Amino acid sequence: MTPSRNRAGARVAALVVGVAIIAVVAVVVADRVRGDAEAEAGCASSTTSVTGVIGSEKESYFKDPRVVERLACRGLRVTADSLGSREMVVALRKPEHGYGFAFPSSTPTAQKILGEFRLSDSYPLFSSPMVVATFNGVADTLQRNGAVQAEPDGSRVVDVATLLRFAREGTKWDQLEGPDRYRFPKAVELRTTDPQDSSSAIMFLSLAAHVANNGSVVQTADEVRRVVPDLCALVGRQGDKQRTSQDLFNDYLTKGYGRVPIGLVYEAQFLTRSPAPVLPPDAVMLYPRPTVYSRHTLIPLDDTGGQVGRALRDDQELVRLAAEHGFRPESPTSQPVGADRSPTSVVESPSFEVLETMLDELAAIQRSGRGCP
Amino acid sequence: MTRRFRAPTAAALPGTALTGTILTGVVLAGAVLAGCTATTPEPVAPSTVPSGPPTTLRVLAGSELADLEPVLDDAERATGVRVELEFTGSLDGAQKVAEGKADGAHDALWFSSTRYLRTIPEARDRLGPEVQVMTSPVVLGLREPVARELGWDRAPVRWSDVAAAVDRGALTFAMTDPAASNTGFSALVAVATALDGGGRALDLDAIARVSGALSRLFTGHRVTAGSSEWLGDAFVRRATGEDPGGPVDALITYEASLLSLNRSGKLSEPLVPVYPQDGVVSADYPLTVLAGASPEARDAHRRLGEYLRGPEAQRAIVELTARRPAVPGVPQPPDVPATLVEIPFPDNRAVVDALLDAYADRLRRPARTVYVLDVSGSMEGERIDQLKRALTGLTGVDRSLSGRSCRFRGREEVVLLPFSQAPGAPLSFTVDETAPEASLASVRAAVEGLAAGGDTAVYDSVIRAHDLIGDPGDRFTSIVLMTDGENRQGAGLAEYRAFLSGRAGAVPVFPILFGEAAEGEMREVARITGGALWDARHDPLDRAFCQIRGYQ
Repeated sequence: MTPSRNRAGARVAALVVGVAIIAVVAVVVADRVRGDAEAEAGCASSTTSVTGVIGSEKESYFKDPRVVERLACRGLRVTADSLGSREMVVALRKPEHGYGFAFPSSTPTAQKILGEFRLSDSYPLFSSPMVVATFNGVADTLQRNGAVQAEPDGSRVVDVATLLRFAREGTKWDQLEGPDRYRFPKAVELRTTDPQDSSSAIMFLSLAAHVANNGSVVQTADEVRRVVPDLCALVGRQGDKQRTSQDLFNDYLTKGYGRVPIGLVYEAQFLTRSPAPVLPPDAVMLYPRPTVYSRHTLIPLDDTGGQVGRALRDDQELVRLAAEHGFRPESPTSQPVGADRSPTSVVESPSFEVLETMLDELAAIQRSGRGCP
Repeated sequence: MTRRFRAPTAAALPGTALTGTILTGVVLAGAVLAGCTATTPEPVAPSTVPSGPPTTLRVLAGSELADLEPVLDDAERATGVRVELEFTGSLDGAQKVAEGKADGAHDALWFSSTRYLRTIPEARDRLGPEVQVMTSPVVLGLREPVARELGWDRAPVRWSDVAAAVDRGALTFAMTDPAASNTGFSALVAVATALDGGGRALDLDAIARVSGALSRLFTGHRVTAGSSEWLGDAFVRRATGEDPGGPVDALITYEASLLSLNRSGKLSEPLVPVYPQDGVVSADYPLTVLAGASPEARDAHRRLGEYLRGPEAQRAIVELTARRPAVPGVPQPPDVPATLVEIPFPDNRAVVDALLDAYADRLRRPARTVYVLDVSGSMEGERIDQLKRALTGLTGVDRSLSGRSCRFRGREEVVLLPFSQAPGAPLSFTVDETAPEASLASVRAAVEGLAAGGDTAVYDSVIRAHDLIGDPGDRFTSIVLMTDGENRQGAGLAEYRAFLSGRAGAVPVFPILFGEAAEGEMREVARITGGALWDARHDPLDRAFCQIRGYQ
C-alpha cells in the first residue's frame, strides 16, 4: 500500500475539481442549514457553558468543530478535560471540581462514579470493541508461533490464551521463530495503558481474567486470587505505561514496533475518519480472542450535563459524527466505516467490585517492587 | 529572554559554566529563528489552533527547554498563551511537587519525563493531564576513532558489548548522576534491564542479579555531573584539551544533544551515535498541568498543547532542537534510525529507590572529596552556623527527596579541611557500605566542632587539599572550596596555577561564593580545574552543597 501517493493523488484531483465543487458545497450547506433549522426550529440564541471530564479517546470528538457547532446550536458550549479513569474519579472527589458531566469509557468506571457519588441518571451513547494494534510483520511472526490464528471466515485474531502462556513462560520476541527484525530481547507482551489510570487497561483485565479463569467471568474472591498472578504477568511486567489510550495509540503510530509491537487500543482509534490516523505502512488491526466492548456512558453531574447527554443521544448529526469518529453508536442509524465486521468472541467485564479487588492486588504487588508472584 | 525566562536563582546554577551554556543556547536559538523568519514569507497558523484569552502559564521546567523559545513565541502569537518558564533541576522540581510547593506557584511542569515523579504517590496525585510534546532517546556518542576501533560504526551494539568493552579497558564514558539528572537515570535503567536480559521491567531481584556486572561497567565512568548540559560541555572541554585529564571515549546523553553537538562544530570530528539494539530509554517531555491549576490555566494548557502538537510547531521543534516529533506524519531528524526498541521502565518507588541507592552506595565509582572550609574570623556567628547546617544536611538527617540523595554514600571518603591563616588538621572519614550511620555520626560530630577565628589562606589550603587527594586510584575525586572572603595569606592564584601545571591528575574544584568571596578568582579556579562555580551569597548554602553532590 502507498498511502502517501494515494493522498497526493487525491489532493491533485481535489485541486482540479475544487473550483467547481465550492459552489455546489455552498448550495448544499445552505440547504442543510436551512433544513436543520426547520427541523430544530432554529439554533439556540444563547449558550450555556459546560465542562466535562472524559476519557481521552473521545477528545477529538469533542474538539471537532462540527460537534462544537452542533452542540452550540443546541445551546451548549462544551469543554472537555481528558483524564484516565482513576484520575477522573480523583478529580470528581474535589469539592469544587466544576464538572457538569463525566463521560468514562467503561461500564465498571461508570458504575464506580454512579455508586460513589450517588447518581442514577446515565446515557449509554456508544461503544467500541478493544482491538490489537500491530504490524503485519509482527502479526506474521506471532502467527508462526501460534499467538495469531485464522478464524473460519479467514480473518486473523490474536489468541489471548497463547499470549498468557508466553507471559507465564517469560517468552521473549527473540525466542520466537521469524525474521530477525522482530526478534528483539523483550518479553512478548501486549502493551496496555496503566490499569490504575485508564479504562482501556481495565478492559484488558476483563478479557485477560476471563481467559485466566478458563473461559468464565471471574466472580469469587477465590477466583480473583487464582488469576492475579497471571494478570500480573500480563500487565505488571510492562513497567511504566501510558496513562491514556490516546498516548498509547500515539506511541504505536510514531514510535513503531520497538515501542508498541502489539498494543491494546479502541477500535474507534483505527476507524475514526476525523481525521483518519496516519498509520505506519505496515499497520494492521486485529481483534483479540476474546475481546470486550468498551461502553461509553455519559453521567450528568448537573442539569447542563443532562442536556449534553440528551443532545448526544437524540441529535442525529451528533450521532453521525460519533460514527465518523469511529464509535459504534447505540442508535443503529449510523455506524462507522469498517465496522461491518464485528468480533465473534466477546466476553463481559467482571463486576466493578471484582475489578477493584484485582486492581488493589496488582497495585500492592507493584508497590512491593518484588515482581509478580 | 529576560521577559519570558524568569532568571533562575543564582545558587541553582553551577556557576559560570552552566550560565554560559544557557546564554549561548538562547542566542543560538535566536539566530536560527531569525534565519527562519527571513526565509518563511508568512507564518501560517493551522486553522484548527484554538485561540483564546491572553493567559500566562507559569511552568516549572528543566533548563534544556530553553531551546524552545522561538516555538513558544510562535505559540503565544497563535494561542494567546504566554509561557513563563522557571528552570530548576529535575530532582528539585520533583521535591517541590511532592511537597505541594508547586501548587499555587506554578500551573504546569515541563521536564524530560514524569516517570520518576509518578512513582511518588504524593506527587502523582498532584498531576493533571499531560501533553507529550517531543521525544529523544538516551544513547551513546562515541569519539570516531574509538567507534572505529570497536567496530561500532558498522555493527549493531548491545549493552553487553558496552560492558565488555569497559571490562577490557577499551571504553570510558561520561554520564550524569542518576539521582540528579534524567539522562543518567535513563541510562542506568536501560543498562540494568538489558544486562538482566529478561526483557521486562526491573524488580528488586533483578537489581541484585545485575549488581556485579553494573559495578564493573561503572569502572569506566570518567565524568559525572548533576546536569546533562554541564556534562556535555565538560566532555567537549576534555576532548579539546581545554580541561585536564584527556578525552573521554563516550558521552551518554540525549540523541538530540549529540546531533546538536555534532552540528555545532565544537568537536573536530563528530561523535558517532550508538543505539544499543536491546533498547534505550527515551524522554517524552510531557507538558503536565498541575491538578490544582485554575480553570484558566487548564484551558491555556490545553490550547498550548494542541498548538505544540500541530504540524507547524512539530516541524519547528524537530528543526530547532533535533528532538523527535510526538505525532505521526512529521519527519524525524535526518539520519536517525526510525525504530528503536524501548526498554520498559520501572513503575514503582521501591524499585526506583533500590536502584538509585544501589548505584550510589555500591555500584558507582566511589568518591573521595575534600571539603576546604573557611573558618576564619569573618565566618563567626550566623555564617559558621549556616556552614554547619549545610554540612550536617549531607549526613542523612535531611529526609526530603533531595536531602536523601545528597547524603554521603557508602564507600565514600570525605575529608574536612578547615582553614584560616593556614590549612588546619584534615578530618577523614570513610562511610561504611553496610552500616553508614556510625560514620555519618562521626562526620556530624566533626562538623559540630568547627570554630571560627583567624585569617584567610585560600590557596595554601586548596593546594593542601590536592595533596590530600593523592592518588585517586579507582575513585572520582573533587574539591569543594567554601570561602567567604579574599585570600590574605600565603600562596596566590598565580602560585596555585603554577602548582597545577606541575601535576598530572585532574581534580575539579567547586568553589562556593559566600559573603565577600572573590568572584573573579573563584571563577578562574573553577575554570582551570574543570570544576564549576556556585553562588550562595543570596541563596541557602545547603542548597549549593547538595547540588554539588551531583558532580562528585
